[in-house]
Amino acid sequence: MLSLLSLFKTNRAVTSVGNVAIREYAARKGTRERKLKLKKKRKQETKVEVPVKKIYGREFNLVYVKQRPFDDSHYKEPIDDVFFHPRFRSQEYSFVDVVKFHREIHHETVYNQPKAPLMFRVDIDMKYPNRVTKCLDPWKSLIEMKAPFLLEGTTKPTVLAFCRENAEDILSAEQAGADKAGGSDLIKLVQAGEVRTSDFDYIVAHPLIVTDLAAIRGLMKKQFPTVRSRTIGTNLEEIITTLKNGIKVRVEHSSQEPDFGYFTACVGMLHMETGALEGNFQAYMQDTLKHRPTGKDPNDFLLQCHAYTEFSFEKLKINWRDYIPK
Amino acid sequence: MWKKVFQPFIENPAFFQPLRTTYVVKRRFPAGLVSPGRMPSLRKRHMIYETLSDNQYKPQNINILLRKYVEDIGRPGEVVSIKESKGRFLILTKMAEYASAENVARVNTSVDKDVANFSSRYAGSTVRTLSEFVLNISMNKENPWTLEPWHIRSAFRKAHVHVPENCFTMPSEPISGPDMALEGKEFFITVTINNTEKVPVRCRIHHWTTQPQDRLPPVRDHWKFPVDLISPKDEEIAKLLPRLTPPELVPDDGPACLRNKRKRIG
Amino acid sequence: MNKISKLLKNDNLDAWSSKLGTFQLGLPTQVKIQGSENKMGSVNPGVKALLHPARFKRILNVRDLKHVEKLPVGYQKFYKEWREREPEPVHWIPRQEKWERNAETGEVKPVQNIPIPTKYPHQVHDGLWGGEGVVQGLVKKAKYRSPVPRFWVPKLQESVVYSEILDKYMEIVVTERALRLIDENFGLDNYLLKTPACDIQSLTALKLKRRILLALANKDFSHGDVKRQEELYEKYKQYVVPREEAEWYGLSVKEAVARFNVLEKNAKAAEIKPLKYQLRLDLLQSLDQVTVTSAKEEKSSSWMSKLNPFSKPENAEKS
Repeated sequence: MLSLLSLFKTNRAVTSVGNVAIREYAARKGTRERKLKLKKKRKQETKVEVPVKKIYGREFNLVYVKQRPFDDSHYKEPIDDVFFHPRFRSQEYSFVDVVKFHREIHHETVYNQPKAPLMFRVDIDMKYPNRVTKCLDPWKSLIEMKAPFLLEGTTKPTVLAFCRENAEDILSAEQAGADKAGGSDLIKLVQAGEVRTSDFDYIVAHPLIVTDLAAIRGLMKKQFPTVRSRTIGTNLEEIITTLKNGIKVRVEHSSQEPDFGYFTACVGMLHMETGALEGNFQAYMQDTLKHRPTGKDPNDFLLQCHAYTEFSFEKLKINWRDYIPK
Repeated sequence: MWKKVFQPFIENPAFFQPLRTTYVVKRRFPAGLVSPGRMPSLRKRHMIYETLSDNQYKPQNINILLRKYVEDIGRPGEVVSIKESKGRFLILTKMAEYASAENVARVNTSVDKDVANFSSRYAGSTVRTLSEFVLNISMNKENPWTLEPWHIRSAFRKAHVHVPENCFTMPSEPISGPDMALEGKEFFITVTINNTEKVPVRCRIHHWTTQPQDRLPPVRDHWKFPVDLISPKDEEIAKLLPRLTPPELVPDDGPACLRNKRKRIG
Repeated sequence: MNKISKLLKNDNLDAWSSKLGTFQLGLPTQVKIQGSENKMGSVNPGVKALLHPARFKRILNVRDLKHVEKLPVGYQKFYKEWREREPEPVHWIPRQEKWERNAETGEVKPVQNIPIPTKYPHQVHDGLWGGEGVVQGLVKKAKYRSPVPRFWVPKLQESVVYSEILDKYMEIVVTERALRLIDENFGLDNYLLKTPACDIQSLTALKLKRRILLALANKDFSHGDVKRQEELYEKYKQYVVPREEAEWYGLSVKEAVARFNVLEKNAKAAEIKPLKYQLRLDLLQSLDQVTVTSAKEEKSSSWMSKLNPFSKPENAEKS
């Protein structure tokens, strides 16, 4: 039995009020919702947050100072053996030389800071090669140091590892560096309250034990191991060493200058072996260049890389091109 | 006889290269064809023009042949491409000539040897700047040290001067410390540029320590004030360099934006 | 007296010109197109007056032509080069092709480069504009808007310019185009000598050219340095022009007329030989002869003849 309405199904609804027929023409389904969505999206895109400062109750827009470094590629190359640096294009030195120069300044006979941490800053061009408006999003990554080091006054992060039941796994986890490792017995300890998850910086788990972990999800809150944060995995030793010896790198980025980003990181300490420092630097470079969009030349992606320390104002440019992974 | 032999149109125009400094204008409505000998009948609409290029100009370069050494630009006999305005100035002051084929050929055959010359275009200004330079060498206040070439090289690098170790000579007598008698005193090293020009450079030792509370009080603009020499033998070298004239130091009033300009005296 | 006329002090004829019409070296000002020397009529008599005639009086230079007709060939040659010849296009681009085909109809027609007339206000003569002038025209901004008058005026600046031959620095009002042309021609002398008068227009610049041509013709430059003189002469040999031609170059019609009158006057004066000079000469000659004869007679005269001054000398009847 078919109803008449279903046979003659139209959008038009004809109603009659008194002797006058009123026709209602409704928009097609979903049109208005689509338009609203687009409108909202456009509003969000054009909205650029301008930082504001209040001085004596009046709001002033803070002027954003562009962070992109000065481009001196139009400066000339020096031709003499003795010259003044500001006049010419800034010189790039090899990583080994940069370390050597910083070591000279921090020597016992000069600054007397032989264990100074060697920092470096990498400037990145975030533009996509073929798209005018779109830029890369800033990223965060954890990079494992080939020659791990610990800065003065800092401690390594603490790791709680949930492994499979066998003793081998637990042992290997502890050897890898986990502060506490265990299986379901560890879960019970946590439930009992003897082990507090908040004491630990990271919580790592094997995928097979994750189902049991769900019982204490509430206690872990944000620390619950996830695939996205790379705290779940079968290779727990690797994960633990990365978390223990790794250094977090976060790309600084402002919406006022979307095509530029930079990050600062520590390569090591000046008294470490040059080879070790080089290895660490290589790790940083490898990770950074992973984020390079396809089609973009590494020379366009990484603008410059300079090394500095907190005691000396010198910023020595590193020739990072030797460390591009092949 | 004197009726103007009027050419209503240009028959064989030379290849036209409009200079971007002049207004260039175009007819909006093209004028009609005209039989030779007759005048074009131009109406008001033929005077309606469109601006093709305005008279805003971008400075361009010209090639000049240098007659004398000009700092940071070149040496005598060199053909250099520089900004128009600077080039014209050099030509007017007879420091340079136009780089026409004849001038260049003339210079190639006979080089003026009497003219003062430097080893490179930047060497002259480097020599002049180094002769006014005061190198501050920071050495440690606690640990014992003897001045070595790499100390001086690093000190130069900190002062943004590139001086490799083979380009300067250490003082004849070794200097070691820490020695407060040496604090703020001068000695000289000789810097050689391109194996030709030699310049004596003033160096002053400053004792530095890690802890800020143990550091020596800073001397404001110390490089502007003449100081004693470590060894009196260096007086002859000191005479070669320009004398340091100490400025009148006004007490530091703080940032300019906060100073009340009306209250300032003098 | 302005700076340029100070430089050109030596020539007597320029003293005339300073009386007839001084050229003021003024700062670049708002150019006003007034009825002045180049009151055109001959370039394009077909163009109608655009604004009120009182403001843009068009006076034909027939007056000039009447004078120029009577002047010698040397000046006429210059005048032709200056006024008659069509200057090189500066403010418009001529098309290079000879024929064009209509895209729709396929019809082939010749291409005629009808020039856009450039006006040269009296301020042109104060400086060296390098062929630039003022373009008077109309601008039509939109379809239903009436055309509105506009003047395309060059950007002027004061700059210094140096002449090798005259060995002088001159502060003069120029345009960037003029400076670039001087650079392209490797010097002011070369630029002035190379370009025809119609492309220079400015009387001051043409007077400089005149100076240079006279210096070359008379070899009257680089005094004291013979080597330099020879060098420069070699360099500019191709532009050397006979002295008579150089003396007519760069003069305005008024100046040329004045010069011509002076020359005529001098010529006439040279022709007239007052009798008195000839008579004087004759007298002197005769006196010479008389003294000779009287010297001879003095020897033979007696004391008796000396007493009576009116007595005839003995040899009088014989001579």
